[in-house]
Amino acid sequence: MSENHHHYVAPLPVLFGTFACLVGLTIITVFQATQEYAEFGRWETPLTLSIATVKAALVALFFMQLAHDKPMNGIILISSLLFLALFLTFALLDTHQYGPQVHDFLISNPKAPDSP
Amino acid sequence: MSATAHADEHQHHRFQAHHFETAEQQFQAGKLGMWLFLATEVLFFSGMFCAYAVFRAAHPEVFEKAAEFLNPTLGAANTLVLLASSLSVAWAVRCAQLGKQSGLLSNLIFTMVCAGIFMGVKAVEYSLKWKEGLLWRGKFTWTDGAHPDLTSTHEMLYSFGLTLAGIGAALIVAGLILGAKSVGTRWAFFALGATVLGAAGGCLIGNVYTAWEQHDEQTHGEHSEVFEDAHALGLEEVAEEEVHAEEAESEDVVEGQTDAEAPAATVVQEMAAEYGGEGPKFPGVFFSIYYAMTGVHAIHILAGIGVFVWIVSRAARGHFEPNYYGPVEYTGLYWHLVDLIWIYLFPLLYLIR
Repeated sequence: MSENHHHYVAPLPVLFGTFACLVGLTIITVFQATQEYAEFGRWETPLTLSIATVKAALVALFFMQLAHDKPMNGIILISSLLFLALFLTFALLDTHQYGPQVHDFLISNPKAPDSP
Repeated sequence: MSATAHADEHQHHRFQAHHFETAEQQFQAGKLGMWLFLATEVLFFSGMFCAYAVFRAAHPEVFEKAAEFLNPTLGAANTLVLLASSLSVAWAVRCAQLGKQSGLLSNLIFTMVCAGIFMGVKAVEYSLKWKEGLLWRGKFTWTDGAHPDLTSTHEMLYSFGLTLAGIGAALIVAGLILGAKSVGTRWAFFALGATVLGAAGGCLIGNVYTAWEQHDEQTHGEHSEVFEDAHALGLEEVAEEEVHAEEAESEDVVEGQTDAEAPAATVVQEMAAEYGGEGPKFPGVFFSIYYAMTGVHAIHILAGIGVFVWIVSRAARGHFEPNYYGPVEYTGLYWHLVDLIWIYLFPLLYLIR
């Protein structure tokens, strides 16, 4: 009778388990950023972004149900993320490349407060 | 599903469009379309993430200092609220798939209350930053040691929260009166009222928390040294040379505004060293990005609230059932994406140390 008998219905334990993991990861990342005695220096930003990515993957796989969906929908999301990565990579490469020149220019031509 | 089913016009679901062979085809086409839209949303936000990455790569110290003005507790609370709303949307889809009408409605209403709370907390954050002068670069007027008196802002937020509560209650009463004959109208008003009540709650709780925290902090004197180098100079009135894209539409820049006294060359050198010669308003660049990103995200929340009002109204009219629940799922996908973006915004803006 039903045409959607093959649609995946997420069980409640999966939904609540995903939510619990997300809350746990949020607590970990806030705790890591606000306490003093576990510093990771230059690795802090990659670490928090990795935690965010795990959270994002949990949402995409279980809340958005990509884990049980047609592959095409996941491919669309992943391709948009690839283009995002391409965009960021080239912009940052460019910034890095010209950074020293911009810095030197600004140091030798500081914006005096009374200059236009 | 089969050709014979299609041959019989009366087999069609009442919401199946004529150009689809089957309800399943309609459902999958709608979902594909939604995912394509979500891809454009990712690319849309990528511009702002790129601005963030470039400015942070160029001036990491400015971001580290400026982020101290954001309240990680409020950000974390909003993260949890959004995660809870994502859970309830996923649960609402499950209820629609199983044909559980009351579960569908209550999960959708809970989602909208969460959306309201999020916006209420955001209102508290924006209002306090406005008062403190922690604004985008063109309007960045934070001065160290000034300690702006936030009492009036807290009082304003208190009355704003109470007003929202009144509006929310009025919307629910209006739903009972105007929607007496139409279940769809009634629940649309209920949904909107619940959202506004959630916003009232978020605003009042956030206000009480920040007032308490500020009172607690006054003895400790945090934040007092930040930006000292830039603002000890007394150069608040600095003409802006550039208008950043984020502030372009809202900002009238006064060109050539001058101060009488020219600073000593050493002072300029110090300033140049501190912010790469960008001037004392430069920390405002962080807040330009902050307002652009969180503001556009908040607009997405508002849009989601608008769509959910429609979804609740249709759900109340009994439109959704195991054979037809596409709109619930598509709206849910959109809501999850808004949650996803916040999952990245929160650590990138609030948790820089």
